Amino acid sequence: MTASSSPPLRVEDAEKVYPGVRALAGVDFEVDPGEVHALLGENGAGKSTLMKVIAGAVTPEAGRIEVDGKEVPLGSPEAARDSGIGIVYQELSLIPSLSVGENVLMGRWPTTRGGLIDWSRLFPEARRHLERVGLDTEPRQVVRALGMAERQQVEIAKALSTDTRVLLLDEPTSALSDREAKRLFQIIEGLKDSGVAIVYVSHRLTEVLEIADRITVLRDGVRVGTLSAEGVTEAQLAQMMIGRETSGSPEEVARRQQRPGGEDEYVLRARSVARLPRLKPTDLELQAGEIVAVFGLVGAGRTRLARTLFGLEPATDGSLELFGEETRIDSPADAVALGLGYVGEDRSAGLVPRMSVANNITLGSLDEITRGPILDFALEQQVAERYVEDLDIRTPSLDHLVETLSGGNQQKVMLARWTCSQAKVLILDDPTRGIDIGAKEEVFRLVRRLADEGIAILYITSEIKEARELADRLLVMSDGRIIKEFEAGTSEEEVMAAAGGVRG
Amino acid sequence: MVRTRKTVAKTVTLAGGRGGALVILFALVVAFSIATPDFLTGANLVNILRQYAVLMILAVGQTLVIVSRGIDLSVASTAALSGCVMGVSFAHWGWPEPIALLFGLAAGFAVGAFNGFVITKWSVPDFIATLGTLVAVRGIALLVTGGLPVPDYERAVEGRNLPELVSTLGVDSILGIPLIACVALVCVLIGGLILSRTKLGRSAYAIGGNTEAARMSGIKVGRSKMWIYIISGLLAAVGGFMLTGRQASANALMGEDLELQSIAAVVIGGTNLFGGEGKISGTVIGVLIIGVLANGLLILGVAEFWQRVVNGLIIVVVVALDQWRRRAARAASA
Repeated sequence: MTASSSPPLRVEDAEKVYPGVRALAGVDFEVDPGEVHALLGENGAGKSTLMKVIAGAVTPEAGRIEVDGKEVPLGSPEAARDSGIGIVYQELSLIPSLSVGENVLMGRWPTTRGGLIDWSRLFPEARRHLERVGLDTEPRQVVRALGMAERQQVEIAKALSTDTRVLLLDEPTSALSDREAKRLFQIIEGLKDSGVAIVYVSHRLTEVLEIADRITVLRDGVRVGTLSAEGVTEAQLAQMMIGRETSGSPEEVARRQQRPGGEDEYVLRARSVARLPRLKPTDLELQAGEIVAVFGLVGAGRTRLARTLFGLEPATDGSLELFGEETRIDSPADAVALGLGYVGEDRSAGLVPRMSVANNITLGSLDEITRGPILDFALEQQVAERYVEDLDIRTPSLDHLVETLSGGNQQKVMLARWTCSQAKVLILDDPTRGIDIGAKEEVFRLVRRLADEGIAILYITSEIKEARELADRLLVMSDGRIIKEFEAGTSEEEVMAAAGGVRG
Repeated sequence: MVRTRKTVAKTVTLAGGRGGALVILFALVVAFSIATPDFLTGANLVNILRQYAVLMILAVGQTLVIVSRGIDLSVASTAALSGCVMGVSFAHWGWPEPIALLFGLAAGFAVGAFNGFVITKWSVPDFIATLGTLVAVRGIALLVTGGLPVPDYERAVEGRNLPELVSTLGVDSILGIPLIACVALVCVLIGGLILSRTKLGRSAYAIGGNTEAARMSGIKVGRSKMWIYIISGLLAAVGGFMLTGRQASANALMGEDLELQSIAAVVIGGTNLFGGEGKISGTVIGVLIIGVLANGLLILGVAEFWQRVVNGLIIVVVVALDQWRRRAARAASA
């Protein structure tokens, strides 16, 4: 290793603002030659944004990136690639219908003098790149025939094929089994030895401690610290990721104590509801006015559970009881008719962006604003206005397109839709994702208020802090099933430990 | 800074879409009026109304379909089939007039329902499904008519021609206004009412704007699409009756190209080809632009072959302008 003065990658003062959120607030970041440097943080901490800034996929408002001391133009994926930065995103970007070799050399296929693709050079060259990541798959094979782990190796080979000095890996194990993850770690070790610097983004503590040389922790767009992986404990890291302990306001504690404990007023009872293979048979009970949080890491099956209950991916098995009656939910239309509401982690999936605020609010209760066959616009305005006021949705007018609202207000429009439709059970899947702290607090208050009004709330989240702050009960999911139930007030470390499982 | 951006966004928005179409229509009318004294006459304007009433009827159905992010290539074929089965059952088979008319409507309903079924139940893309019916339905019309015009005097029941209602509405005028234009107006009003003031219309916007969101809010996406295609089929049937009445005869190949013209009219009228946005009033303007342009060029003596070239290019130019407008509006508001 030559003792060069400039590191393979240096990021200075990166700043990125999204509407309503400061995703990166002046982050410095540096990677040494041949090291695995982990970027750790909760969802929304800014890890992915930083990655995208480095890879040129996102243009930061300010900042400077250097590779080997040379400045890289910001916001250009081509420039980033040409300066030796390679990235493997969480969602793989291979084209399944093309061969492995074509994918590895995507867009840079060797050609004959006549301008045709030179297959006799393409496949051997691709094979060389594949060997670097220890994959002996035939380059002529179609990508579709490969498993997830192999596809990822192809993706890494592709990222390395452009003379890459720094390799960025975004949550690379999220779709892998434990054994495949182990294999990936071996590959990473091998690359490290060949002098490639690796940035490893993850929120899994165990895995980060296993693979990383140094760790940088981000929280709310700010670098909390960079430390050597040597001698650090998971608890320390968890503390850094989560920040200061919050115990909840006095009113909050009082509210929880007031809640009738043993009353048997179940509004929803699911018995071994399953959608194999990702959601394994699961029991779930919800009481009126109760907030139940479901916590789990990425891939634990949280979203699957939510989507199954709401009929977006109908259950293949099990039985469901709503308000004491046996029923079935095979579509969202069934769910809405039975008094369920759903707010997904992706706001853009639930809202019609180019419809007005009022139209979006009434979309779940069109029957109520219809007189005979005709929509009653006056009534619609009235109803919408009531909920805009009630939920304090900040919009210039009812007729403004919902896409012009801030993230927090869009999320309130979604909540308004379901209060408007008189939903009695609300399934909220990571509703505060990507909205700023102030708006989050507001959403929390609303969720509590809706619960106080007797609505049962299933609150799905990947942020343990949220789960503890809000919930009366806390369910932990892992590997497609609910593995543990905690009372409100259990410590974060205890919950985190349960969710992380024991990696074999 | 922010204010100027907003002004830019506003101006750009006004310059395109429905507003832009209205400006184009106005400019065309002025230009043709200056170019030739024969354009802006009562007789010629009535002529335009008469000639483009059928397109108007088909375009209303097409608007509903496109707003819900679909496309119906089969409208012209369906119009031909409906006109043919109505004519054949009345003139050749001697069915009573109301039954023959209902039979024609039923044909339109059936094609629409088939389109909807194939699209929602078998997940065939809208474009492919209706491309299939575009071809197949013409085939059925040819089978029904034996490839001959209807009524065919050798096969017709004695004294039978076309239903009274169809010939009256297709040909006659009241106070100088062709009845066929009145039928088109009624279709426009009904279509406008459905799109803007019914649950189905609202669902169409939601499905076109974000299908997943529509589904999540409890809208029955499949059923809604099914009804939208059925309405398009029924309007096509009415259009087929009017076409038959106007030319006092039906044949299996009538109305060719109307499907493309109807799509062009809808898009020229500011409806987003990818769904979620659009109004019937825009479509009316779109149809008038196509009508005025073809009529004006004809009066000016531009050969019909050239008219095709111009018609085709207009579609491309208008959509390109619209895309540019959307990009500019997005850039200005971001």
